[in-house]
Amino acid sequence: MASALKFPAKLSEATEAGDKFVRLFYETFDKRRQVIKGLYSETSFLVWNGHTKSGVEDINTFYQNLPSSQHSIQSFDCQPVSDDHSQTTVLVCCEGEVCYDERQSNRHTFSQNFLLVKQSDVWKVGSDCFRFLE
Amino acid sequence: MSSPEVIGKQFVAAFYQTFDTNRAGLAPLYGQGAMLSYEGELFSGQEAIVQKLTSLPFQTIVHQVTTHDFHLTVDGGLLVTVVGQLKADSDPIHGFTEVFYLKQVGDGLFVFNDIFRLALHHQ
Repeated sequence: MASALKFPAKLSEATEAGDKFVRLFYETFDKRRQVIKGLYSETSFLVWNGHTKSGVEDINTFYQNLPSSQHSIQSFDCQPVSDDHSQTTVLVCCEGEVCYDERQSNRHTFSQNFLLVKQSDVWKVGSDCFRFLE
Repeated sequence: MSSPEVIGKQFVAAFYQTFDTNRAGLAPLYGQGAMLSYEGELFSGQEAIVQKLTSLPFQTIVHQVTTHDFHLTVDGGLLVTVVGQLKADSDPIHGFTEVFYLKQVGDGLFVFNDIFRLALHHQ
């Protein structure tokens, strides 16, 4: 049971999950955005530069309407979140650059954090918070 | 019951005011088993976190919050995302981002996860 894992095991599980997730998320977002909804669930929540969306359908519609993108990640951090409901949760924070529509004039630095929740052995995004750093 | 926004704003104001005036006073804000990632380095437990924060090599610091986002998470915590700028001693102003995961324990709200990054590499 996840909540019985000792701290180093929880940390390495969080780091492994976060590392895989970050690569999967941005590759999917940039190259196969039509399937990004698979990472969200009915209870997911998004704050994108102050705009809030909740539930997989609203989040997906919002993301499909953003211009084509290319993200490059400069740093990311992962931490296990205390799990007293026997569900495994990981906090992931990323910083990097994103370029929209392949236009250099449309390049932004950004910070994005995710709360990942393991649901029946599959990681889903519980919360997603994105901000331009400017 | 206050909204996440009200609670979050109170927390952010209290956290940075304490940070800027009395870093040792941050200890009671962290819960048991809390974690801090500071520029990629991990500290675990209230004591290690406060030891790190109080040993940061500047005398004066001022945080200015540019944006903050708050929302309740599926497991009843409050996720707080802060983007801002800080000025330490006579160093140039740097951008930073900080994310807190807060949970209520008894009557108190405590930080269990804290991830801090300077926005240095973007300049």
